[in-house]
Amino acid sequence: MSNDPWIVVGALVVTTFLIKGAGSLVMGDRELPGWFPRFVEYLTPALLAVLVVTQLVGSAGAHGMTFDARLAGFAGALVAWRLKAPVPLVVLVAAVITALVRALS
Amino acid sequence: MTGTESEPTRPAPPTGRREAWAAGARAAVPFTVAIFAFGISFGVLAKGAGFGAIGATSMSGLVFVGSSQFAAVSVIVNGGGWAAAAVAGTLLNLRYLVMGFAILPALRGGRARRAVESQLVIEESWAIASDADGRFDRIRLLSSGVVLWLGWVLGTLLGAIGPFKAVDVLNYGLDAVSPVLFFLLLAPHLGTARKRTAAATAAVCAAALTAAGLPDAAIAVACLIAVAWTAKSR
Repeated sequence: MSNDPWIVVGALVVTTFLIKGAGSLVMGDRELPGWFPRFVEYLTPALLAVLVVTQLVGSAGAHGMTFDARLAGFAGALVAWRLKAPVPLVVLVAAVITALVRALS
Repeated sequence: MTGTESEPTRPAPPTGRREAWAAGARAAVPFTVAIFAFGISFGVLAKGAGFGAIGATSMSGLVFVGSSQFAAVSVIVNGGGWAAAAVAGTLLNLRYLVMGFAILPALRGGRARRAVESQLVIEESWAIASDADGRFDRIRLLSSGVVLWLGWVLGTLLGAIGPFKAVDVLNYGLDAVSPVLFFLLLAPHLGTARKRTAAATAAVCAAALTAAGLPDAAIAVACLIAVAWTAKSR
């Protein structure tokens, strides 16, 4: 094997540092504009909603939407959440239902 | 990494602070279980692509972005060159531009220190650190980030040195955990009608883009939605 893996690691480490640190590196000690907090207030729910959907019906290997046992697990977790179950239980419900549906189908 | 703050010689930190450390770490635990399993999968994949255990583990420790690392290594696995691999990984990192700027007001210290603290931003730690009023809690970012980082790095190491062929997270339903946790983190941000419409619009767009095979574009659309909603709220 060539040195390629280490070159990839090095290149990705540099670009990731610059991207994740861009806010601080670009802004320095300047203040962000006044509208920025309001933008973030809308950005957070919008971004989290995107993550819920892409994690629920997306799939790394496939193009398009994938409807599988995750939906059953998610639905079960929603019920547990509405019933005010504690977070670990909600998560457990999701994983167990998903694994069960997979095992049975 | 910020251990100096809890030195016993200093006055005891206010309870709110200690609670924030604990709250961030606790919120990160369920995510970390899933991330640990994905880390093992990544370690196995990287080993197969010619990355040694040291290479794979230092990549996870220094990059700390699962999707980006998977993309870069997959390019190598499929016979691509290092430049194509680095570009693929970098493109998947672009979403952190937005999250990095968003969390900036919460960070402390000089430019370099804030840039380093920003490295702990991933979706999970960013969401755990967010408050309903649009602010972020630096301590929850750091404590959840460290817990998630440990899970990802140790998982990678185990995958790269262990006897695993691949860990099938699907068998344990672990892939259903992430959407549920992100929903639980989303719920407190739905307090106003305008936030709910922003979230609903973003969800519909994300579904459409996923159906079209472009799920990564959904992050950019979420930004545009936030811009539009900010402009309307004036």
